[in-house]
Amino acid sequence: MSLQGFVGKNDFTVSPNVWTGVSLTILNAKATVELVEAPVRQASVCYASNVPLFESNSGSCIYVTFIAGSMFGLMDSRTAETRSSESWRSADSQSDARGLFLPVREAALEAVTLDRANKTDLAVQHILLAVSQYIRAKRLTSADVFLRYLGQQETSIALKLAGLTATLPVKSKIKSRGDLVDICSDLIRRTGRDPAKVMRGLY
Amino acid sequence: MTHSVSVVVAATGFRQQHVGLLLSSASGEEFIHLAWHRLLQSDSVHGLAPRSLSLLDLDGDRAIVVQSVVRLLARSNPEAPYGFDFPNEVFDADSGKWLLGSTGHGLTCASFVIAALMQAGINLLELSSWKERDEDEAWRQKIIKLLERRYPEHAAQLVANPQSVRFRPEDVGGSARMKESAWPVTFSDAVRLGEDILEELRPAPPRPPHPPFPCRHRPF
Repeated sequence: MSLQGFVGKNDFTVSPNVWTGVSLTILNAKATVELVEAPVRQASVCYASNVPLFESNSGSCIYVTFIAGSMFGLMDSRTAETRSSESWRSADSQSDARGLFLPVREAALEAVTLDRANKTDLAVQHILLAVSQYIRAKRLTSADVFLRYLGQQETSIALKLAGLTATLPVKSKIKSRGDLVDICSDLIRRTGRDPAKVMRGLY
Repeated sequence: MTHSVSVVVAATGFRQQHVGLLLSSASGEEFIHLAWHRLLQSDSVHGLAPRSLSLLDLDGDRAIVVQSVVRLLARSNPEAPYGFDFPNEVFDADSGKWLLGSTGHGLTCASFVIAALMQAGINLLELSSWKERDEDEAWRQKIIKLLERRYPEHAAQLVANPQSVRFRPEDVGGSARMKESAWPVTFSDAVRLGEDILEELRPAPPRPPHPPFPCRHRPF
C-alpha cells in the first residue's frame, strides 16, 4: 500500500468557524473540508473524525482524527494530534497505518454497538486494541476522548473496565480516566457489588 | 457468572508441575499456557491429568477483561521464549509485545501466568518477597540441559544471564485460591498454599487388595 499523499503537520490549517465548528484547509490539495461536528465551545473538547483526506493505492480511505480543543487552543490540539508525514511513511508504520488513523468516536461507537448486540467479549477486545494503538502512537488525547465517550455511554461495566485496563500504563496522563473510575464505581455499587473488589489494580 | 479465569496446575512428570490459565465462558474453555520455548499456546485442558483448578476471585465483568488481555497477549507472542526472568515489565504495557529480546531471556510457565495477570492489572504474588529454594538451581540446570538439545544458543545465554528466583506452578495455583483482598500473596503463604496443590496432584495410594469373598459352603 502506497502512503504517498499523506498530510503532514504543516500541510493544513485550522480556523474556527462559527457555523460548523472548525474548518480544516488542506494546503497541498487546495481543498477545504469543513468538519460538521458540534460547534467548538470555549473550554470544551470537540472532536471531528471520519474526514477522508486521500485515497491510497489500495483504494481504502485514509482518515485523520482531528481533535480540536477550545477556540483558543486549536493550534496546540492540532500539533498534539498530527504526525509528520515522514514518520507515517516509515516501513514499520505501513502495516498498521489504518489502525493509527482509526477515528476515535467511530472506534468507540463500534465497541458500544458490539456490546449492545451482546458481543461484549468482542467489544472489550476492540477497546483494548484501539486504546493501546492510541497509546503506542502517543495519541493520548485520542485515548482521553475514547474514555470520555465510554463514560458517557450506557454500556456494560466490562467495557468501562476495559478502558481503564487499557490505559493503566499511562493512567496519570489521561484526564478523563478519573471520571471513568467514578462512573464505573458508581455503576458497580448500584449492582450491589464492591467497586474496590471489582476494580482492584485499576485505580 | 458466565466468565471466569482459573489457574490450572497439572502434574506432568516426576516432581514436575505445569501451570496455565483456563479461560471459561458460556462459549467454551481455552487453556493458555507457555508450554515450552517459543510455545505460548492455547489448548484444551482435557488432556492434562491429574490437574488442580484454582478459580481466581474475580468479578464476572472483570473476568471478561482479564480473558481478553490474556488472549491478546498470547496472540501477540506465540513465540515467547522460555527462561528465568522476573515476570514484571517483560511485556510492553501498551502493545503486550515481549520486550526482552529473542534469546537469553524468557519466562517459565509459572512466571508467564504471573506476567499475564499483571498485564491485566492483577498482582497475584508479592514478587519482592520471593526467595531462592534449595532445589531451584538443580531445576534450572535440568531445564538448560533440555533446552541445549534444540536451542543451544538460547541455553548458553541463559547460563550467562543472571538468574532470577523461581516461581513454582504450585505457588501460583495455591495463591490463586486466596480471596482477592489477600493479593498479592507473599512467598511464605504461597509455599504453604502450594503444598495443598501438590497434595491434590499426588497419585492416590494403591488400593489394598480386595478382601476375599467369604467362602460359601453349600449346605450339604
